[in-house]
Amino acid sequence: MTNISLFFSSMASLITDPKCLILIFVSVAAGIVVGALPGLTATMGVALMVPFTYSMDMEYGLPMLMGIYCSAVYGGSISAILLNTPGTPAAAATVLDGYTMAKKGQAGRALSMSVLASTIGGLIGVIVMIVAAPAMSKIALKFTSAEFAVIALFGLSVIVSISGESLLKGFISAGLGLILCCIGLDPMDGYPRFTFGSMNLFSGLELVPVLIGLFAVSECLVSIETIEHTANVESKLERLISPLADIKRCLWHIVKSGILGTFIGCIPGAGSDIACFVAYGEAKRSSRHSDEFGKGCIEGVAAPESANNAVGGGAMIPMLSLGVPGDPVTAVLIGALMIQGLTPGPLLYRDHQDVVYLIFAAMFVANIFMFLVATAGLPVFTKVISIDKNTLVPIIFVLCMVGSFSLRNNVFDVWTTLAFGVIGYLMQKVKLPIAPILLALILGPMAEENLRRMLVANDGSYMPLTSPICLVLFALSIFMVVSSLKKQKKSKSTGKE
Amino acid sequence: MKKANLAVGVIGILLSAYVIITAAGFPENRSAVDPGAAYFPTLMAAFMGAMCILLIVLTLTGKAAGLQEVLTITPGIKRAAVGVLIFVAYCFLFKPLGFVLDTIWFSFTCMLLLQNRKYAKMAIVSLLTGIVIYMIFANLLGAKLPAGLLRGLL
Repeated sequence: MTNISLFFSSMASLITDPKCLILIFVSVAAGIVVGALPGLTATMGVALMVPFTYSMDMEYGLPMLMGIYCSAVYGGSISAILLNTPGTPAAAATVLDGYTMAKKGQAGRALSMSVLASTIGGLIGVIVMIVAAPAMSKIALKFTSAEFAVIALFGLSVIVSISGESLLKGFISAGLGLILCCIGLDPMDGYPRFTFGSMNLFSGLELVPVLIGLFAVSECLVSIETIEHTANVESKLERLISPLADIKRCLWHIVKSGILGTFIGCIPGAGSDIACFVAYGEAKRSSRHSDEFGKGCIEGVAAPESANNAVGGGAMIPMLSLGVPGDPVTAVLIGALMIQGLTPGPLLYRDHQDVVYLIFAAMFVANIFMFLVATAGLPVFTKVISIDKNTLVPIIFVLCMVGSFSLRNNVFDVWTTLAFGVIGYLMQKVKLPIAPILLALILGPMAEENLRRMLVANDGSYMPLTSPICLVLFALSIFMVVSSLKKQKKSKSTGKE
Repeated sequence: MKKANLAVGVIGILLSAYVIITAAGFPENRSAVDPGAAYFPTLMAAFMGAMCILLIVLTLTGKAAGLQEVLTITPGIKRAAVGVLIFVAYCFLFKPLGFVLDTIWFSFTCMLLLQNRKYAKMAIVSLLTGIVIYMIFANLLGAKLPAGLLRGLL
């Protein structure tokens, strides 16, 4: 079967299953709510959704995760437009024109364009993913353990981009993750390392409790520290669907930003927050109304919203074909796939093509659902941002704990989640970035196992690391590190000026 | 941030030293070409140790990023510390008290800590949180949540 026919057969089985459609509907609605509430990120939303999928069959669990993944990014635009506060970092550029439009009484116009642009951008990302990911995985199937060890290194080079203001602290955080991933039985000879005699640690740290702790429990503690009072929003919308004139005016920018966002998403570490600003800048540069940007220009809403939703499809390409997470959300998705007994990477295409195409179909359907749910429910979702977050904190914490416990019905995982929640909170206090730990926990075992396997297979020789593919990957890693460092230096000097 | 950086550096060095010393006690590799169980942890600990030393040096010489920021113990941080204690109590009582009862007292106390004062609403939300989440996970998703004191009732 060709890729296209596989995709359509997955689509057909998905849309003819009412249970699956209901689950996508629920997860899309939940994603919009999570995204709309400032402080709740897409990563946190997906992390909280993972426990709901433990006991589900894959054909139901994966579409649910894809639903929340696609819609949470869009949800951020609601609070960006109505509150001047982006619900997720991906909606940071939407604030610039979206909020100005809302102040002019055009909130409905901005919100409806945001829905449309997000949907088209998301679909562009999915289409590129369907074409590019299988091709990339075919190449990756030829890789040996040496290449996989270097791919892990390439993935770790993402740390440079996600380290925030201090690269050194990013490396320390990654170092901690790389040490933590050594806990458990040695992958080659099964010797227990750093287990302190506890059977619970023999299989290493469970990824899901760790990530729920780092990304959700730590945020609960931040919420307890800061106590935010909810803003009352005047959410009367003058329209729910974009007028044809706006669609005509923005369509080219939406398509262009969607393509741009997808390619930015492919680059590990360059997330949707970068994509939205790049797309905004490009739209401003090429628009006939460039002088209106920042003053409530509809293109200024369409371009970043299309780009940030397209990033999802792009970020899935390295995740599915190489097993390298492009951002923290895809790192969480890797954890979710692992629970289902699947390891993202080229072997996933070879051995579980049905799963891969289920993911493609689910993302496609989730984007369509996002349009329908968001358009029909816009008046409701605009009220969601008035929910008292202080009431939500204990509920989120309980969901974290019950989610960790349900993984193995083991209280040890509950303690792991709490411990990493406190570690994550303390790390935020001393400005140590959290995401590198998660990246290291996923890529560390891949690096160690493949490096040692390579040495055993080649009589202890490191020569396989000089193969052309390894050299290209080394060069790409160096390029990514150097370009990110240059960008950081440039933004620092701009900041000083 | 100077003290925080130094604390991160020292803790990191201590952790690295612990890992390197412990890994030195791992058995020799069986295969002559496999670097063994100690190889990766030692390498990673050395890397982290080096980064921590660099952080301390840059902090002491005033070249580390973000040194101008001051980390003070605010009332908010104290509240978060109380939050951690409540979280710990919740985890301790998870099995003996059972999920539902544990969640009810926890949610109420947590909302109190978050300066909610609408007691009736807090009580209803706490009750619903415990019961609804239990029903979803235990009845719909098949999780074996501890019943604790309500064993026989749930």
